[in-house]
Amino acid sequence: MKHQKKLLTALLVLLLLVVTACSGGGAKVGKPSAASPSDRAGEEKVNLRIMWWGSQARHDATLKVIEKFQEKYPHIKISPEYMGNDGYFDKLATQIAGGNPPDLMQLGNNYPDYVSKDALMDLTPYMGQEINVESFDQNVIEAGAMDGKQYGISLGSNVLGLIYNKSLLEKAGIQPPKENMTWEELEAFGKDAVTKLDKGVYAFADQSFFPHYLNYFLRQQDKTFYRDGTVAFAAEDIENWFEMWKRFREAGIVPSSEAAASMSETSPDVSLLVQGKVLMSLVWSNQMSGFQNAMQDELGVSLLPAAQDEKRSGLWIQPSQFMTVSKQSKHPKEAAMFIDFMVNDLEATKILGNDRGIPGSEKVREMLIGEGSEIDKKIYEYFNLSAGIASSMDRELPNISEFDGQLNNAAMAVGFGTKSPAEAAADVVSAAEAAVNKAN
Amino acid sequence: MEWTRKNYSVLLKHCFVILLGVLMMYPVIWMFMSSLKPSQYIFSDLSLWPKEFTFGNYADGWRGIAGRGFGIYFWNSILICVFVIIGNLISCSMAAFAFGRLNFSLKKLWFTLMMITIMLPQHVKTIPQYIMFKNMDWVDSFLPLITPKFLATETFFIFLLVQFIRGLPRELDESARIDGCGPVQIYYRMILPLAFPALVTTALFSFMWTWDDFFSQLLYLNDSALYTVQLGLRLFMDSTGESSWGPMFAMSVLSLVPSLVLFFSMQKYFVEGIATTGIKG
Amino acid sequence: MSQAAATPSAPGRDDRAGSHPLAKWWKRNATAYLFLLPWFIGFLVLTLIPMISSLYLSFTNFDLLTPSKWVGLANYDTMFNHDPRYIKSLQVTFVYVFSSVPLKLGFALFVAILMNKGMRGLGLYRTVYYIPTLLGGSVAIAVLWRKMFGGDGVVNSFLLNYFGIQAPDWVSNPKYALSSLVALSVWQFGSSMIIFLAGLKQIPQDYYEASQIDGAGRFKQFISITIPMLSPIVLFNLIMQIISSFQAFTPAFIVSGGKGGPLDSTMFYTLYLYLKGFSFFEMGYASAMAWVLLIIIGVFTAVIFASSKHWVTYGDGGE
Repeated sequence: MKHQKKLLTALLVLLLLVVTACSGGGAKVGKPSAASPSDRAGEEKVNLRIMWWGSQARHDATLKVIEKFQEKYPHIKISPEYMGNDGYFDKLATQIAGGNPPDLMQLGNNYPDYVSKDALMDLTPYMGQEINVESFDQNVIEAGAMDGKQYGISLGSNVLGLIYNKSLLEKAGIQPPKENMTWEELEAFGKDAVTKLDKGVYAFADQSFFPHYLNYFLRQQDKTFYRDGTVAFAAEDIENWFEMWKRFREAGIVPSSEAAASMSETSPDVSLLVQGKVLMSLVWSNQMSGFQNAMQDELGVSLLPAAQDEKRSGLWIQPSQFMTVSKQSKHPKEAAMFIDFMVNDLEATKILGNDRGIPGSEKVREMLIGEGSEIDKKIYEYFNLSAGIASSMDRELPNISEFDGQLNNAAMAVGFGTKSPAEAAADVVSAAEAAVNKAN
Repeated sequence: MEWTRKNYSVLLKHCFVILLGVLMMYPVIWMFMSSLKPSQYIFSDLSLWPKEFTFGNYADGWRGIAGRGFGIYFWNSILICVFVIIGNLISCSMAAFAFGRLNFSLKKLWFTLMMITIMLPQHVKTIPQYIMFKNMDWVDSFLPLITPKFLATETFFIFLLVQFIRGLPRELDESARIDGCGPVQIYYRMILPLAFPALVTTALFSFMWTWDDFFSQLLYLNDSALYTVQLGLRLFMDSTGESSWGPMFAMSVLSLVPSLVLFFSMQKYFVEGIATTGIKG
Repeated sequence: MSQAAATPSAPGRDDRAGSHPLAKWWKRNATAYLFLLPWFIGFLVLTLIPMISSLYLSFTNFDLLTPSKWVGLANYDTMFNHDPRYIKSLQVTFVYVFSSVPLKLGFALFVAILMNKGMRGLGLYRTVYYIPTLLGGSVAIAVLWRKMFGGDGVVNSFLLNYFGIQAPDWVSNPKYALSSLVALSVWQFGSSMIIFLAGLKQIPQDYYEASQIDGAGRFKQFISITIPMLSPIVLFNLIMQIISSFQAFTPAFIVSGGKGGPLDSTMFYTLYLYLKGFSFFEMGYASAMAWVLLIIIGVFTAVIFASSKHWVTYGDGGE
């Protein structure tokens, strides 16, 4: 009984404390108080909300840029909402559905989904006015446009690259993969490598489920996931892809699916490469430094394999993140000004660096190359190399996330032997068709 | 002879409990050790024991984002938790007393409806609820997280308390009634003290679930001055780019501390209980 | 109009109350309804409105961002006739519920009785056993779980070193991925354990003393005192575990990176519902799924409640 009394008293005291603390910082519990009307003297105050996802470095940098922007334009106040990518799109969708979207939204290549649902502002009237893209690569700008309307400005581009564990390679006495190798040469390289590597170490990670790797493979045959509103590949193309990986698996140059299905190589925590168990895997260029920083061994970067009967380069430069403006925004002009600041202002771009990908402005790139770390230099070098080769980008398949899951299932089904490559390929085709139909 | 046999069985019991405990602890130990590793070792070095020790992850993590450190996140989380605990204790015990001890018409109907409300997955309620709170102009404040708890929306606790209250012998009420107690006194003087272990459980779970909650905090808190520990932890995680794993592990370890302290200091109330003394007293 | 329209809920009691049936009703029920008042407000405003709107949305093609269109029963039809992934998620969930609930509750009860009394350092042990539950929704759990059950995780090293068994990768293999999530759920038995412990504490000590005088052994005491006295709490834990396991989301979401893989082997019902609603922009369909789940859970809960008459004894001697 005594204990309860003590506890009850403690609780009451705590309650009192909290109540007094709250009345002190009352604004914290309630709504942040509205802008005081006394500010109305000069220019009209504009409040903008901006939302992005990222990690510590990106948050720090972006917040600093916001500060700089507010210094330059004191009448504009920007309220940032930032988070990891976990739950980001759920929150965004809820806000849009609830009629409360932020003015500025960072989107990925899924932005067409938001265009088709009429959530984004057409930025065309601000192009060449508030938003200056003179020094931008044309394809980077085009990537943010649909049906002749500009919906987003790229914050950075990525390109696919094969990263390999250079230290492990040297230890095993294997020659680094030579540039411009074909798929056949890559296979031979893998076969040779596994004989020299320790048992349980494989040449490549199994990435047969990686949609962009597959798209690279398709593009070499001048096909692609999606073009002119339809699916632009056939079942036999997918079958070839699955057959090839099956061959890799049977030759023991990629780990078995039983061992590796949960290691998707999409980030260092699920990477066999980081654990030193595979020699090579495919990642986007903006992830390379993340992988390097998670490893003691040194990484190298190499181009993706060429095809013998290649119709065009499979590689493309992918503007990966866009700053867009909500259709419900009351201050699109100021929002456009901020986008411009983010991508052109030399001070701002220096702060932001290449965290969101390689900047689309050539001027900015030139400035940044000199500044980077060892791995950054490698990435720029690789980026420039691939930019010289790359062919133009295709529009992303609509409803890509649903298709992604089904491609994953099909690839795994082949890996676990529950489906033949032909059956799995048929599944992929129907999944792609369903994704396209849903968009229409 | 018998003495040693007893000792032996106690020893065996301890061994079993400790072994099980190690299994329970392993992931936490791994997380703690990883939080002491420099980032290039966390995933590449498979051994548990760090090759190099660093407290840099803790410093980095605590620093938080742009000068808004984890201290603020901890304070916000604790603030929300305190209100949630108070709200749940008051509102759920009231409802539970009505369902568990009082007779009234339509009781079964209301109880059934209450149970049904928790059978619908939260995800489909999210958007209507968001729109409602937005219309009340409560978005970007703690109110959407706290107010519902004062309105007995946590069916789990109501049902829990009902079960405990119903487990108490009826004769106690009768004798209280003879002593001239009305329902309010019975609730306050009799049921609440007797259901003390269940109330402690309610407080404890309220704290932990609120502490661990991520999605509703993510939805309703925009201003980083209002961010909580769970939101703070996610600020380090970007699976599409480069995550800050070291600081994330370090802060995850720290985020366990309040719950552990609370649990350790509260658990004695399960041991002592009040059932032994309370009924007689 | 004036007097007769007195609304039933109006708390104003006039003096003729004694005779009017409504007033009589109110007099009989006022205390209970006042105790329930906060719940009523919460129920009507915060719960009922979202529930009804989700029911309405289940008959539409709501895609989150554009106005919805009425589609009748189309969502329900697609679910059962044209969506193999839905059927798969239903299977996965049933297997999960029927394996994890009994295992978890059995384990929790066992440990609760073990930890109830008569040991040194109980407080510490209890805290240690509760740690996994604290880690529950942590971002780190996916990594930690792979460390436990991955190809070269702790479990497999243990099996290999002490028994020479080369075990599969429990997380990657579609045959075993679900069982590793069942293990995860059992591992987080702390909450159920706490509730059992609190229930055990509520059993008056005199009952045991009395039966000891009668010469009952510990096993007999367990059967004749502990189990009946604990039965309301067992009922509680059983029902809440069933409800929450049918809705299990976080473990699969975090461990599989939100994909339900490999090969949809951990595609829980609510995970699929969430993907449909938020990632694939089919909130109408997700709402329909939610209502089907509500019916499934409702049936199970009703059956258990009905059966509880036969095995649950209340201190208040009630139904």
